[in-house]
Amino acid sequence: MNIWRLVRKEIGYRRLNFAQAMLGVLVATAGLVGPMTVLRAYSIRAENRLHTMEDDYRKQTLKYGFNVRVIPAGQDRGDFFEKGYATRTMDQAYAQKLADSKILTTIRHLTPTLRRKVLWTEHKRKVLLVGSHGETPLKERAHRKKAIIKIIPEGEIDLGYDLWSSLGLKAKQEVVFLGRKFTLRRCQPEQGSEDDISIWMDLQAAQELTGQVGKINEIQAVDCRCAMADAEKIRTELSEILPNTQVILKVKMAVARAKARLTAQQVRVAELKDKQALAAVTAAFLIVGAAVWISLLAFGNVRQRTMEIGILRAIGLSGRRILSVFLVRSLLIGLVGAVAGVVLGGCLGAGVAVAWGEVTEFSQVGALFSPLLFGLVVLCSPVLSAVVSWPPAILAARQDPAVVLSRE
Amino acid sequence: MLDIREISKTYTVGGKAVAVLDGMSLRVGPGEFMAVQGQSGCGKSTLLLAAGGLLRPDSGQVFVSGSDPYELSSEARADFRATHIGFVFQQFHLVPYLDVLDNVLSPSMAHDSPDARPRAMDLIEHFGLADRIGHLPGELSTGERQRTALARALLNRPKLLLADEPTGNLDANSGAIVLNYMREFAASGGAVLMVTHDSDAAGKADRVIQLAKA
Repeated sequence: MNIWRLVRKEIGYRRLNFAQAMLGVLVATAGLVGPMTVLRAYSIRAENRLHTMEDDYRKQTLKYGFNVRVIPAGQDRGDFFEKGYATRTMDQAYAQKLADSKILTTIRHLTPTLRRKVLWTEHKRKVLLVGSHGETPLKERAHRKKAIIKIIPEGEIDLGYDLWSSLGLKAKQEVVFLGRKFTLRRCQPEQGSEDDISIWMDLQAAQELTGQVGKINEIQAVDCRCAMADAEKIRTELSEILPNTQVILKVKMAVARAKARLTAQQVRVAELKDKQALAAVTAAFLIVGAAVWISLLAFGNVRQRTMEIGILRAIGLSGRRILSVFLVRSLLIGLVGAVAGVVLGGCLGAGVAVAWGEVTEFSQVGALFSPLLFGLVVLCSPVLSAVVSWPPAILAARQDPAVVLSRE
Repeated sequence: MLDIREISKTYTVGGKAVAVLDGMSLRVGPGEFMAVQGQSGCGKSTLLLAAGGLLRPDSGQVFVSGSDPYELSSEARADFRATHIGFVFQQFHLVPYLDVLDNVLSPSMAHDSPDARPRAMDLIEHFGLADRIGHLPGELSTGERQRTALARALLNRPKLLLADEPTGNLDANSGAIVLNYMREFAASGGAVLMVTHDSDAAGKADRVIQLAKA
């Protein structure tokens, strides 16, 4: 005979009391696990959507190329928009200073550029010369993004559609530009923009050809989605790093739409956090209710067993043993109730998630069950049950057998 | 075996002190069956509880097998009771959800020994309960219940058996059977202190003392 057998037999004898207490634990744990499972489904779906939209937005942004243009502070915007480039210049070192900044978070793909409209004297054509030596790598960016423009090797040029098509030029052909020989690397497709009359070449060559050595008139960049960058944020950050510049943002409708969708999804994810908090508060109320319920039932159980406790004390069971009888019982209530609650709550939660369309494939159901949550619930419930049963158990252990047996 | 020396016990009832035992002394030796008789409220049950290490007297000493249980800690006193003293009550006080075998074995929860189970089987056989071994107390007759309680009291081979009105709820025949078993225990060298109103039951004892109100 041992305590475990005594507890087991008592539970079998007073099934109703045990079942009522266990039901309390079951309701509390199912009340916690069920909503958490539904919210987990909601969360997984929302996160997936968010990632998809972030990716869409990134692609949209890259598709439309650079959307941030950093130009000299004193540049008149009217001239800038009329000519399509800044007439003022700034030091090429600005780009490096920006790339080396420890506080830069809002933009990436920094590309120092020199743009100038010049006369292609050999063909008597006005062209837009674009000099670039590719992206300046960011010093502080742990995961640098893949460059979105390719470096044009020294001695080579790319030509816009109007130029190569009207002059009958082909790739790999030798071209003379302002007295310097270049190899035509690529003939760009028609864009319907100033790109069609553009010549792209290495920055240094462009600087030398225009007499602007060490100068640029623009740093092209892309705003950084991961930092939730907006115009105000970008301007604030750049004014700290490069005070002698100003920022011009290009907004495309498709990008704006993608950004709106992304923002809406981010709001949805934020709302999810509110729902999780509400579920946690509800579960907390259920747990407190269950704790009170279990404690009352344990008091009832002790009261019902007064004489039994008296006789067990008389035949030699110590107060500590009596305490363990009641604590083992409450641990069992917590354990059995928690396991049943986790199974019931998990199944109900998954069912609701499927019914609400948060889960569309059977293979996704497994991801709804959080082993950490289930483990914590199954571990904490018996402990909580034992804690709330502690006062009645102490009462039982401290019962004076002489007083009990004198009532005979 | 049991040596009670000058014990006194006073209860407070309704704000008034009521002395139930006042300098009471008695000795019950090995092999002796002693009965205590007296009016209700004269302190018979108090005497039994004090002798069993369950109720500390206000003064005086109690020795069981030469040891004073009240000198021991609460835990040690519980163990002492388990190994030295057996209790039988008028209301049997069997654990309602344990069958006969488990009830008889219940003292082994306090003091386990390897031979507890064979010893329980022997006692069950001896007290004529073999065919009731798997029955719950609610399924037993009163005589069977008291025999089960007696078997439980004797599981750990105590030296002292304390019985509080053991035949109070039994018919004459069942009462006689229980008393015979108690006599048998005394004959084997144990000491029995029985509190009873029943003169016939007291008549089975070697010695009867009358307890007057203090």
